[in-house]
Amino acid sequence: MGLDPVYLEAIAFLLGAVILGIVFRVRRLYVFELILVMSVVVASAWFLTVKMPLLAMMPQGLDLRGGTRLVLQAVPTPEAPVDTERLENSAGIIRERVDRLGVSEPDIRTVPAENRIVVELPAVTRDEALDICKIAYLKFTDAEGNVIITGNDLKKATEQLDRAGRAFIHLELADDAKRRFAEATTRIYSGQSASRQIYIYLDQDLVSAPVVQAPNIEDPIIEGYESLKEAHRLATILNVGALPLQLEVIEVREVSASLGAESIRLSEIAAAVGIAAVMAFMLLFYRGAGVIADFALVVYGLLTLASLVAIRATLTLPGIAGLVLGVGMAVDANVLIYERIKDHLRAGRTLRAAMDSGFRAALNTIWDSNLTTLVAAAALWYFGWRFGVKPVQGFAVTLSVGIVISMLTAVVFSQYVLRLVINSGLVRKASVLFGEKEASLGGAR
Amino acid sequence: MGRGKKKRQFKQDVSKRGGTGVKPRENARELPEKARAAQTSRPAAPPREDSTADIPWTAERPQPVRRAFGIFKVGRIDFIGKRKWFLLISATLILVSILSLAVRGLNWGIDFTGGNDYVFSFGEAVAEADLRSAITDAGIAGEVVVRVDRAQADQAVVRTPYLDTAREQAMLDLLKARWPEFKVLAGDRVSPTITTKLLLFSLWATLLACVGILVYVAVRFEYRFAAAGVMALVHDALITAGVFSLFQLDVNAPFVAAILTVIGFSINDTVVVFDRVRDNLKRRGKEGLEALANRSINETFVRSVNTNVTAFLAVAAVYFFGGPTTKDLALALMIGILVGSYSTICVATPVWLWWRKRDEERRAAETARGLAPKSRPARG
Repeated sequence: MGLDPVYLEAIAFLLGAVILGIVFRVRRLYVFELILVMSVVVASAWFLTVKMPLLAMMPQGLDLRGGTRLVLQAVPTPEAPVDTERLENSAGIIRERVDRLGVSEPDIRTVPAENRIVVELPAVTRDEALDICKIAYLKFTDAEGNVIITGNDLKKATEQLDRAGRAFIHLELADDAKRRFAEATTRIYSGQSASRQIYIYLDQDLVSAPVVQAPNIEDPIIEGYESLKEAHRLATILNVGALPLQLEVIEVREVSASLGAESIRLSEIAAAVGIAAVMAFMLLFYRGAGVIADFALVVYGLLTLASLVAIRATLTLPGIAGLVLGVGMAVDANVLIYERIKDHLRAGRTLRAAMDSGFRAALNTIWDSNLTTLVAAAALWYFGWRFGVKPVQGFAVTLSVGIVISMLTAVVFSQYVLRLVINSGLVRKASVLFGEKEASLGGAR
Repeated sequence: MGRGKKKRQFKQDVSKRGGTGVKPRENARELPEKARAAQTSRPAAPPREDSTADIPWTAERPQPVRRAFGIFKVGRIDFIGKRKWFLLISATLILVSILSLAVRGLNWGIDFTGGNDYVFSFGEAVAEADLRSAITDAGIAGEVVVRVDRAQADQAVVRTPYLDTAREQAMLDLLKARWPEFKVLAGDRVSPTITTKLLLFSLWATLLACVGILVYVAVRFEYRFAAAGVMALVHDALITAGVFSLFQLDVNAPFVAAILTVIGFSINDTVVVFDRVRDNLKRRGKEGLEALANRSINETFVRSVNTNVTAFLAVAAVYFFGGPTTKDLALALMIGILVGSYSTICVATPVWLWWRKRDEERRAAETARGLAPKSRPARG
């Protein structure tokens, strides 16, 4: 298998840790097991943020990387009523145009319920995007406005370079169009028209007005492009021709790459400050148990990011806000557990007994409270999905993933580490773990 | 399978070979003594019968006064007794919110009303008035909002009525001619035709969330809890919207996300208290509903504060450092968290209590009149 050696090293490291862990557990070397667990967490955190950053594996939304999003509404006309097939065809043509222009990772999808096409093009400006989605009705006219040929007569347009390196477009015409074109050029060349130009219109826009250089042209070329790229753009539009539907642009959202980069920088700061604040609070309030909660928070963060990578979620700005809020809410399960344990300590139980019963009592609460929040998150997701508001949908997904993982880390990881700490004998006083005067906490172990 | 066994193993292990484990005996003797000493050295809080009745753990053994965060006497705050005051506060807040929503309305952003939103960069400091006149010169009628942030005077946020491609291009060309360094950092254009549906869907999504929560809580708890919880979250959503209306902050699609998150967070908070009420109903049903509700709030008080503080810290970081795009989202969440933590204690629980008491009184009256067959006592 062509596995990256870094992954192999990581897997070997984890395997070694598991074997060591089993050995420590069997020999009841709880201190070493604890140190091992902590170092695995620290090492994974380092690995997944520095060596193989999880965040870099996530595709970024348009609001972060810059680009343009268009929503096109199909408008029914007598000639072209709207149906799903025409909608799909139009989307296909737009897709083809986008591919020919070489846009990376475009997202073009139809919303049949609304008769809409949503086009998301990273690193494309608004003008370019609008060009791509233009409804191209092509016509060649003379100065008097007489139509010579239309887009239907065009078989193929290809951009080429001549010997001098100048770009031009070669038009391959259908046979009867060739005849008409030859006649027209003869007429125009001989001065029977007001000017010696041919006017090429795309919809109402004049795209080009080449001068007729010779009579009787059957195989026309259009010269005068600055670069092959420019010629390529027009050729593409000419080629793909008219969309089968009349589409109206009802939404345009453009974010420049520079603003996206600035957003990333700012949200990095916000995330760092937010996470640090939450961690500091837990540390100050719960002392020893706070350290465990903070480690659980690290595990939570890594697992959340990993699952977002796994489900191919797109990172958006509101999504990041959701992630940071998730960190603030993720400690809730830990808080619930610790408060229960403290209650039971005050009721006179030993540290170990209080831990057991505290976890059990808290579990029910955690379950109920988080499931209700999940219900709300589901509604949010449905809203985003139904209406095609991607950032909202992303927000809902990150929120739900966060809720599920916070339950897992609190109930499984925190519990495991807390047991290890108590079993290891490192901490014998409840006050060290929960940061309150012993008098008010009562029981010791 | 191995879980229960493992636990037992630990215990055996410690009792057998105390070497690596905890030393049970010394500590067991040492600490209760200390605890007792602390109690006797504090004559200020003698375990009097009346004062200790509503402290959760004193049923087992008396405790000295504890102060959470060094301020509150834990377990002794009479939330329920002050419920009339809370009702007054909530009623005022809701009244102000509804009034503001009715009179001032919400400042709907382009996601809801249609229009064009831009972030422009000029490469030099720009005055709001200059920019505004330049835009009106471009022949744009109607309401044009221009905002220049003092910290970034070379950038401006501009909102115009809906412009189609041609008129938009004309405006951009004019601005480009006036400011050579002019750049569009971000531009949103939403046609008014699509926006009515968004509003409808927002309401739908909110309603959907409420119904889902209602059903879940009704199944897991009882319908009175469900109704009280949903009332509390409507209270929170309404006040959050009221603040946005009062200060005329932009309401766009993320606001809907924020409101729904507030709803989820608020019910999460509430369910934790209700869970404790349910618990206490089972174990201490005889205590009387008021004392029981109060006890439940007090027992979960530290948790409520801690959870809301951490969530608030996280969102505040986004608000202050996360840049302009997510500011409104973060603000709505901040307000929601504040109101949500308040409503759990001061709205949801009192409403449940009132409802439950009314139902019980009714039942008692019925049995007294002999109308009902031997009624069974109300259950959690």
